[in-house]
Amino acid sequence: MPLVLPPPLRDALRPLAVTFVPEIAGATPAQWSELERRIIQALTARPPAMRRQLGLFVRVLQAASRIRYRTGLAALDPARRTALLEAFAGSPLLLFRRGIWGLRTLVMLGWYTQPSVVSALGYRASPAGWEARR
Amino acid sequence: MKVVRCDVAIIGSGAGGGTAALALAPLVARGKRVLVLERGPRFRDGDFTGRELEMAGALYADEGGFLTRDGTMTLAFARGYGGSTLVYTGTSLVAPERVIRGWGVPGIEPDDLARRSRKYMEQNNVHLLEPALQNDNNRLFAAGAARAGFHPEQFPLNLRGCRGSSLCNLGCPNNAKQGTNRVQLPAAEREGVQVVTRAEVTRIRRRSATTWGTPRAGSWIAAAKTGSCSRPACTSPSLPPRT
Repeated sequence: MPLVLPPPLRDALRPLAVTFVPEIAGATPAQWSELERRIIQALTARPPAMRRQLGLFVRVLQAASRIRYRTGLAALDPARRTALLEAFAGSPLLLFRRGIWGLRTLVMLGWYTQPSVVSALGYRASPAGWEARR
Repeated sequence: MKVVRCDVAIIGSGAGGGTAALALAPLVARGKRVLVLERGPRFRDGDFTGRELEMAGALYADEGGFLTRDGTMTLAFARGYGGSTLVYTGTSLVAPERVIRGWGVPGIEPDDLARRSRKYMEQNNVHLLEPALQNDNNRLFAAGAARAGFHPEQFPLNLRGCRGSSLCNLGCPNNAKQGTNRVQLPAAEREGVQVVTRAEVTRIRRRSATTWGTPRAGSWIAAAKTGSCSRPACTSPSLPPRT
């Protein structure tokens, strides 16, 4: 039961998150904490092996960044970080494509399920339906 | 290990299993025992809160993140009394003839399927949404498509008392969507069909035309003379090869 993010992911989460969803750069501290909490919650429901695999994949991303650009993900400029992630997303290796898909899904889950983000988007689904929107 | 003897065991309670349960319900009056084994729980009306993360976790397999074995696709399907009819949008279409022919299943003819589909459309109140309930997005889309020379049509929906929550995929919070959890399963239960929820079938064995299942809650065996795997697209079809 992880109550914290796996260390490799914790260290890389912010640069990854703002690359996948640029508006996260403007997240308030409360929104960022909530994003982390939701990701932790989602990961807690997954098998430990999957969490280890995710941590390993983030280490691979960091290593690729250092080899290619001589710096880690956090210090990369957005264009290079995007290029790196796109290279993994289009990799012939299925595991790499799955890894990017999983990270992106986690970030979106952590961000777009927050009530403040949802209402800012104008998403107005409500059990009260049409009455709530009048 | 507890043994439950029955004449028919249906695996899954969604569009396939739920309708099979109601179709076979008259057997109960003839002294037969019909059992539906559903992996997920039975939800109460108030359980459908419409809150996304909460409902995704409660309704969907792997919270909606169920991956195919090769990891290339996610499959969003529900577990619960009513199966995926809990979470689909309510769009209810009759399979076109070319699709049915493409299946190539002996004994399934387009006319016969259309006749059966009409029966379920009536049971589940499938209809076109009245114009006053169409939202602005759809009205604009239809007008634009018509102006561009297309012939836009509505998808028929299985609703009764829709309040426009837009939360169909998270389990209708207003009980308006007429899935098997609202229509076929309660009717089948009234006729004596037994629905066992939280019952994950892990194995099917053939022994003198007997189907055996082992639901998760404790170890049970359903000893049936006839069995039916009713989830058409997701988990049940993998049972026979696995066992």
